[in-house]
Amino acid sequence: MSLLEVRNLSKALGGQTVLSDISLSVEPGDCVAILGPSGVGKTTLLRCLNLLERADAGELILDGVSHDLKHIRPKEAAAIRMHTGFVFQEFNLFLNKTVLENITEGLIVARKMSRADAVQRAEEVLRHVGLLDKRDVYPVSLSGGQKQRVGIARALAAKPQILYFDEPTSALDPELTGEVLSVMRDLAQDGMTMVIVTHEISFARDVSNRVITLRDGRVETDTDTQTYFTQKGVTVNGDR
Amino acid sequence: MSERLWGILIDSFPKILIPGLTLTIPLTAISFALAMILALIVALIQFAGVRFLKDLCRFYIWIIRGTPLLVQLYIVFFGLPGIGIIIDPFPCAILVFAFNEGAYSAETIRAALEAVPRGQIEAGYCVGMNWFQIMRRIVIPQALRTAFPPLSNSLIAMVKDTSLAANITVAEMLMSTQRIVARTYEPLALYLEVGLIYLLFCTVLTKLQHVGEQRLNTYVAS
Ligand SMILES: Nc1ncnc2c1ncn2[C@@H]1O[C@H](COP(=O)(O)OP(=O)(O)OP(=O)(O)O)[C@@H](O)[C@H]1O
Ligand SMILES: [Mg+2]
Repeated sequence: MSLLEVRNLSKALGGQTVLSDISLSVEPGDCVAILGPSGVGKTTLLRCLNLLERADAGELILDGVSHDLKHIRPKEAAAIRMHTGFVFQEFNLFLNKTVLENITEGLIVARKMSRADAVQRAEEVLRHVGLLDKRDVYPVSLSGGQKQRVGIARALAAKPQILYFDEPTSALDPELTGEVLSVMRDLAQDGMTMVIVTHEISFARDVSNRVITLRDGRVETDTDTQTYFTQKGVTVNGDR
Repeated sequence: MSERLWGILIDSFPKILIPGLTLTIPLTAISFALAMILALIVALIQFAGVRFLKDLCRFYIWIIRGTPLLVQLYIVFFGLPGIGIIIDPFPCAILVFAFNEGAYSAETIRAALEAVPRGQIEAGYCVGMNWFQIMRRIVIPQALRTAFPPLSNSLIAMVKDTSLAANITVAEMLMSTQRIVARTYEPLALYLEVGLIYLLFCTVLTKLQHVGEQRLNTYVAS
């Protein structure tokens, strides 16, 4: 059984159809790369999957539980997000919280974990991304790469079944993308289920096991990574 | 300066300062505290876009901002008794000042709430928090930091606006001064004196504002 299944998802924004009839599934341990030209709706798709955006139609089946995306209620949305983690292009770290608090906040407030357990877990994930020494600073004093690693640690802390990444390195200076990609690579190797929107084609080729491309709001290809890159030849230069 | 004038000034100082401490300051503090609670609620209702209540909030702000504070005081103190609602001067002043300031500060706080980046709220949802938790722990703290300087402004303005309460028989600093002027015929010296006491109060508040800003600025770039 798939961990995540999406059926016939459609979404219009500002009167324009952005996504139409998207169906896909994600197996446990999958690392799915979502590729496609700018403006095709990759961000919108991820946002619909995590209920930051309400789809106009579609069904989401997570861990065997079906949800009607159009009529989802806040409680139901919250329940779905308990199983997911989201990493934003713009990090979106809580500005008024320290690095540690950024991670413990959700654990304590939303998941009712005890403070001691939450701090322990936060330290664990911070060590994982190599930022334990920054636990007590505020996001404003971190570099972009460090911010994103905290963003990943925060998403990871609650042990989600699936992690969504929306262009996690696009807001970074080129020399800072490496540290973030390497954390993600480790996660993939550890068997974390991930759905990654990215323009880093070579990263997608090296790390993902499946590639989904979008075109004109639809799924254009959905295939394993090797097939995708073999068919495509070795044209590895970002956007088509 | 004549010895007589000095005598009047020294003699009148406690007579002005004491109503300042017992009336002006409590009046300001209580009114402003109530105004902040009201303003936060009104701002949050609008920020959340609660149907009907939101319109009610806009109506309230429209009425309050569109009429003079003194007129509001007169309506409540002199007008309402006509329909059988009689409120003592001091609570009446608190009521009017709180509702008046509440409307202005609601707009300040609403603007500050809207200035919090949308991504902060979305990140809150993504770590599993609900709307109230996000407001309480992420958005409101950030908004209050933004709103703190303009709200301090309002507080300082209110200290001085409380002098309007003299018009509804609250014997605060200005009214006490007026009484002494009526006895001594030294308006210049005495009004300067009361002005200085207001200045003193506001200077203390300005200092407190700086301390407050420093503490709130811990997480912004240095
Ligand atoms: N709030 C909105 N109102 C109207 N149109 C929108 C809105 N947000 C996004 N769009 C449009 O929806 C389309 C999909 O946007 P989306 O951000 O999902 O694209 P994307 O594939 O993530 O692009 P990129 O690679 O540049 O990040 C775009 O054409 C965009 O202009
Ligand atoms: Mg995007």
